[in-house]
Amino acid sequence: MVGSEKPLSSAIGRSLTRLSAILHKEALEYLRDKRTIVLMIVSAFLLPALGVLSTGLRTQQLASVTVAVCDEGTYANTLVGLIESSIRRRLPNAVINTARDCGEGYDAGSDLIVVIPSGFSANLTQIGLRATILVYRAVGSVASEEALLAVKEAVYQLSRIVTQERIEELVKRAGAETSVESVMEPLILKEVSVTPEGIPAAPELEARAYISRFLAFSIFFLLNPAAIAVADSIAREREAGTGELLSIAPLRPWELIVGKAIGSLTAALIAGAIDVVAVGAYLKLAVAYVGTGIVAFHALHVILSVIVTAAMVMVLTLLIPGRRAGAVITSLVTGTAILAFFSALFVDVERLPTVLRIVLYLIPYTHSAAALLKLSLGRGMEALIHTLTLVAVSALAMLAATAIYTPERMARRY
Amino acid sequence: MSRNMRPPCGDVVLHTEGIQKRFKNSITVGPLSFSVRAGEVYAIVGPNGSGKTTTLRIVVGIYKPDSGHVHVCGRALEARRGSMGLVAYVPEETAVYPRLTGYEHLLFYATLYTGSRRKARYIADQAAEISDLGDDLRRRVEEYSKGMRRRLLVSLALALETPLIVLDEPTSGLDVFSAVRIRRLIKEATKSGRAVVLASHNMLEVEELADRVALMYRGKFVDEGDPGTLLKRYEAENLEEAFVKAIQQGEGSVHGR
Repeated sequence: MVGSEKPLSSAIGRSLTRLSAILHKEALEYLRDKRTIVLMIVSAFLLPALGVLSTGLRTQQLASVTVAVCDEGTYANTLVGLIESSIRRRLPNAVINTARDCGEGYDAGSDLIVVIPSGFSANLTQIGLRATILVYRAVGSVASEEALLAVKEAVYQLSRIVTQERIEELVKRAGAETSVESVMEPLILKEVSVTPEGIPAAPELEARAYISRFLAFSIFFLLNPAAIAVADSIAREREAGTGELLSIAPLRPWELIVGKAIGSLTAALIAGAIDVVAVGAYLKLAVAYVGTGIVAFHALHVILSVIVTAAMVMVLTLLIPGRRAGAVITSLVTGTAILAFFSALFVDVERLPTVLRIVLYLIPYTHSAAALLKLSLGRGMEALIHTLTLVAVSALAMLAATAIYTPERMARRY
Repeated sequence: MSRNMRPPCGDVVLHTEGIQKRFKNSITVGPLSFSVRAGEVYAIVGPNGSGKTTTLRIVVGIYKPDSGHVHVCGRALEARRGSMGLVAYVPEETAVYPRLTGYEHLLFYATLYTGSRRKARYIADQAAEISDLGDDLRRRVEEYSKGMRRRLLVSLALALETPLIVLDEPTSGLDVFSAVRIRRLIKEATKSGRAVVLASHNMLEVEELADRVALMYRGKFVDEGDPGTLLKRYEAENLEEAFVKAIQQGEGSVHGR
């Protein structure tokens, strides 16, 4: 043998050395896969941009709106102004044609045609009459729907102006001692946010809880590369034959499973770093919004979620070999993650009926989202319980992977 | 090489007793019983699909036999612990991590086998010397030719200094120079008392290397013996001819249990 070994002579020392060798190998493989890293960078910047683009497409439509004004009165002119500004706000690229001469007809190719008929203003000046506006909407045109919303907004604004004027007139005639506001809006809704303990909550707490939900959701973007990394790494070992060499090396099953699971963190951390830069670039989500504590807690949950993902994918990949099967497994796990994170983003899981709540809490990612939300609301103990649950699920998944591991499962089949 | 040599494990390095493996497609390999002594090269020859690789996989601990036992240095292989560091194996595929350099590759496996960085570095250096890959060891394995990859794996198997080395088609697809070099390395390994089990299609190679040969056909050994005895028994000029005659003379005369 080669000289004396001091600290690493113990079984634990040898295990740690082997574990670190696997981690180092996995890290080198991920870091040297430049094409995949480039793709991660591209997708981190491209996907949010495409997301923003697709959600903003509705307002970017080139709608054509014709406003046919058959009335010369003040109210008609006011309404035209209101319609124009409302449409400009909702559909900046819209083309608005205002036809002053009602008799000459108007652009029949418009998505929306608004007709302000003759006598419109006159009717509004009389307290007992109503005025009508005609709208023609092109069937099947989404642009016309958006334009119609803008028109309705303008009509509502003018309606309020006229209502206010009429109330003023009526109050004057009745000689009543009242204000216009108390007639128009006799009910006032006052909203006060409180903590679960009933203490009024500061507005920052509301903002923190809101952002925490999104922070929890952002974990999902890191799980996909981690799941792919683990599934692909096992499938690759099998196909290349390196799995055979690994399986006959004097490794304990847990050393291999833990090494592979933690090794997947490299991929997740690369993806995470890129993701943070991308999110920062797009949303300018500063630490100041939620505080360093929650950001650090978020980082911890990223790691735990990645490990639990890696362990679950490993169990399934060991049971069901093959690269295609690995891709399906990855989709299955990430699909489940989407369900959990979306649910936690849009609903209070705790308020759901028991059956639904149990189903969601069976998905480990729900605990990540819940933990972050609880911490943001200052409920540290509950956040800790959710975190410990996630740790327990990770450990169980790794134990399951270790239990089903056999050298044969790492070998290529003939 | 001798500095890192494992303690000798007795005369019989490998002993298998009635090992058998059944597959879902009703193909069965075994039952097979054979032993390999220290310093011996034991070759399993046979056509494709005869069960050579399956036999090697059982011997190294990748496959758990449905029945029978494998003992290496008198120790039964545990089902979930591979070869427990007693066996070095070179599979038929050039099983490498393409993004690691040749040296990183050697160091990785050496660390898994030793659990010690210092010992691993020593073994990696030994393997590097045996491979004679020189500066190429600093290049990534993805840039290697098939022959270079094979040299890397075989040199690692030799440097690990396990009592048993198992090689599946060790010179398959190699040029003449690389094949000669690898054969020489295998021979050298046995001089230090290590046992080698290899599977090969190449009868010339087997004649040159093997102390004993098992002729395998349809999952069973049809005969076994040293090359000279087999040639005499079948009045053959070479092992290829002996093999064909052994099959013709009766697939029923199965050696083993």
